[in-house]
Amino acid sequence: MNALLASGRALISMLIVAWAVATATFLLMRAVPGGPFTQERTIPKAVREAVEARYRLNEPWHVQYRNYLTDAATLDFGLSFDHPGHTVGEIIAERLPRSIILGGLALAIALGLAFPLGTAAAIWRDRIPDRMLAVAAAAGVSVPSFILGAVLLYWMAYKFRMFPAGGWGSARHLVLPSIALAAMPTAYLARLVRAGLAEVIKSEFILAARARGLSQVQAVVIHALRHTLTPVLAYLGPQAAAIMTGSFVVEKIFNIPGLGLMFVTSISNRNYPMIMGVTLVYTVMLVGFNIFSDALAHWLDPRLSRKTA
Amino acid sequence: MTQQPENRPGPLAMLARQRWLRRLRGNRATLVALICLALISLLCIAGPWASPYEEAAQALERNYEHPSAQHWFGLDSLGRDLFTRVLYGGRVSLAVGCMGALLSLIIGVSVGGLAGFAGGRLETVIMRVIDFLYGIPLLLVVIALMVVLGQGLQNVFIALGLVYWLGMARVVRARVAELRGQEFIDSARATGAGPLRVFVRHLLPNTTGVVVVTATFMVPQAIFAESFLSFLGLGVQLPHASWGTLAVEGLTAMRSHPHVLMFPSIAICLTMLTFQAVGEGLRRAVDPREAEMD
Repeated sequence: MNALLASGRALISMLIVAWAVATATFLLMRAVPGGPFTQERTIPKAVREAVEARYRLNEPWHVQYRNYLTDAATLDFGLSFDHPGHTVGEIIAERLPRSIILGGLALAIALGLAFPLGTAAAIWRDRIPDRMLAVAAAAGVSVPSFILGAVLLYWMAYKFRMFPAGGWGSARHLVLPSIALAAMPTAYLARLVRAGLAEVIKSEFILAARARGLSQVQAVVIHALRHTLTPVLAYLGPQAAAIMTGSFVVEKIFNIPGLGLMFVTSISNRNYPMIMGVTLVYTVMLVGFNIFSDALAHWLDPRLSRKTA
Repeated sequence: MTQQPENRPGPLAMLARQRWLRRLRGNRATLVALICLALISLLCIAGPWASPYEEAAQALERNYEHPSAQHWFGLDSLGRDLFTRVLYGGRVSLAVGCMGALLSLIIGVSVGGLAGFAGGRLETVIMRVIDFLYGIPLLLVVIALMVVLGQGLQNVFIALGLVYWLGMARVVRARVAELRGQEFIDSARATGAGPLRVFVRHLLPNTTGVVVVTATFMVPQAIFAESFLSFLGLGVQLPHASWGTLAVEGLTAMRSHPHVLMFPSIAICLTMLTFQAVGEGLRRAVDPREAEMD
């Protein structure tokens, strides 16, 4: 019953956020000087009117707003301005999976590296593994992804020709961009795991596990690691959505036809329906991941629910 | 903050001294980072005057010349001295970082302070709104703001400041709410201080620690965001150049002339790194529980 109530409340807040973001993007995009069909040379009035009618830009803004909201509610974002004949929905459906594959891979790399690294640093505290992690993590959060991407591109693709320089198609195309995307979350997560473990490792139940004959590593992996999951999940929620919808930068550098690259071009082309469609997809994913990671955290650690109740 | 070791070394004094030494060692990294940061800032502020080259002086026939004794960072696509350009870019990037952080500090401290001080329903409402804003993809908002405001240095400040105050507001709210119930506030009230006086004279000064720490982390975040905006072509506009725009310029030529990308990138990374280190050191110094843990 309680869980039902909570998920109902989460759903409502998600709808409110989606509505607010939709409205805000609508207003912002209308406030921008320059329309999608503003051109240097003047086009015949009839042509302009026909174009505007096709994209329903000729109606008063409140009608446009109502159209837009009802369409968005049915997941119909209309026609894309710069891909004649294609709807925004089609383009998103084509591109989103690529971004999800790449982002999922990056996330898997980050999680797969962060837990062992953070654990090693916490166990061998203030010794070489810990020092090395501190340096690597500091570097990881200090290097913008476009610089890391460029460095990888220069060495791995141009100099050593180990991987293709960009594009989409094979597993080899995924290697460099997923590393560039994974670096920063890996650094953050490894720090979180280390900090979480550093606290837990001194608890009595770890001492008890050691007394029962477990090695330090066993005790940490079996008993302590699960206690780091709460902060990790709190970080992962928003991060997962950001990575999945495609880091604009990494997609641009490696020329990956994903959603992020689409978003960048849509902004410079004033492609309203596309911008709003992508923004909404992003928002729904962000809120969705937040709710999901929150629910997961509560499920893993029932004490969280008791505290708020 | 530091404990003086006693003259007669008993076991307790030993412990105290060890802790003191450990803290000193932690602080040394912070000190090094602080000195680095001061050097970077000084170079960027004073450097351009000392440089024998003009920011915009072109030597087209020597474009992309590699680093040499005359041109430490080489020349760029129009034959301009890259070292000078990086120094000028540093001014812009640091200004963006500091102004963005300052603006979000002002908004964040006012909103968070108000929420924490007022308490009750107002606090709930403000914090709900902040939670709600957190649910919105921040970078998209910055991008949207830049599209609306148009490019330019001031607009970058404004867009960043308007968006990145949320974290500051949360931190300040928590601190003020924690202090609100303490005795020294009651005694200030008892001596006849009005709410404004209590807030400005007694509550705000006690938030300095957390505010400084949060602001220190905000500067690199703003520099980062600006370089990102430059990458999307929404950052500062010509004739200004930031590290972000320089790095983006370098991207196009990096295949045959990697130095054009390398030096601005190093500048960004080094600055980010030092700010992170300073922020980390300050956080430890401010939050004794944290210091105790390590």
